[in-house]
Amino acid sequence: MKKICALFFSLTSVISWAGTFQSDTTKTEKALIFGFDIAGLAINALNNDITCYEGCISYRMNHKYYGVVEAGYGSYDYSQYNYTYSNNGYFARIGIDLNMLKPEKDPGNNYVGVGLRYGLSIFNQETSSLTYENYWGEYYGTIPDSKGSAHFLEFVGGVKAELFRNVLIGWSLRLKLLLSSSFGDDNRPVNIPGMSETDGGINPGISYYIAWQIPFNSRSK
Amino acid sequence: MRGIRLSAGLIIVLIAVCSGCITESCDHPGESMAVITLYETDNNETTVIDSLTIYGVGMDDLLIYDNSKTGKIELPLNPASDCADYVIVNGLIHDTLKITYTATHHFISKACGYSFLYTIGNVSYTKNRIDTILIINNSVNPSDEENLRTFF
Repeated sequence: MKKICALFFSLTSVISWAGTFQSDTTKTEKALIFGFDIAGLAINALNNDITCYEGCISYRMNHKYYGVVEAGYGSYDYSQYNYTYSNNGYFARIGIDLNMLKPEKDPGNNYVGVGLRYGLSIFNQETSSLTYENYWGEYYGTIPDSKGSAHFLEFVGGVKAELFRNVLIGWSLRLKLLLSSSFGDDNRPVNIPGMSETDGGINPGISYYIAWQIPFNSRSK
Repeated sequence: MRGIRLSAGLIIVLIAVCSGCITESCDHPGESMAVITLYETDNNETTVIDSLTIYGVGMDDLLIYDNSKTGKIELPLNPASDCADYVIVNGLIHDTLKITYTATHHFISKACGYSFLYTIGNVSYTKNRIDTILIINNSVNPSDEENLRTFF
């Protein structure tokens, strides 16, 4: 965990050092960008118990600002010696990205920047087995399936590069902070779709997007 | 911009490397036990009992305290039931104590799983050696807070 956090902060530091905020008046094509997160597919290929399908739409207002909406579906199964847990549900995030590349150095469609997201997840969770042992013997129980929601924030840092004309690839590292959960503290979710695990105050995450960009017009950049 | 393209591709390597960095361990806070302090009725001061034996009713082959010298008792509650019954032997005199409660599961962490918290509703007891038992704090959790105060 500490290593991932250190990695994230070192990367964002490099990003901050490399980029300087540019003038808002620079002419850059407005564009819609549609993306799909293949990191979820990769994680699912490595671990069948985690599923995450996620897409995003971002609106490039100018060279600096991007409005972003991300949404998807996730499910999670986990089992260990004393409990078996599962959840599934939908999530959405809304936020903004700030491109730190100078437009005069990169007039194209590349991106190096940071962003902020607010996330909402609506999902079901169930603990299908729960065992607990003490002086009185072994307790067997379940926590039945219930539906609830969670709110969270994400701090995002990442890059996107134009692989082919209007086709972008890029990654983002995310630090996720749980704001609240309707399940309460006693039944806190092990994992939240769209946010990942809830242990600790801030949890890391990663996205790896392949995106298709649709410029609105071909005016000067 | 070659650097951006390179970094956009190389992150997969970083994911693979860092996937092994996260380790999970259970730093267990301990079981929620009903904490009972011992007092003398005569002077309303804490006391230490030289020889205290405690076991659950029907569990006399598994002692919680075995002729122990102690001034504080910690009793495990039964999450599978809404009450727990104990035999308390002070010297050679036997008393029984029934604690009635509600049990609530409580998620600790992914590595630890679930524990239980309890809310004490009532206590009943025999008065062979025990004089009075007061409920001081009905919330039983892994902390060391006093829940019941027993006067002998």
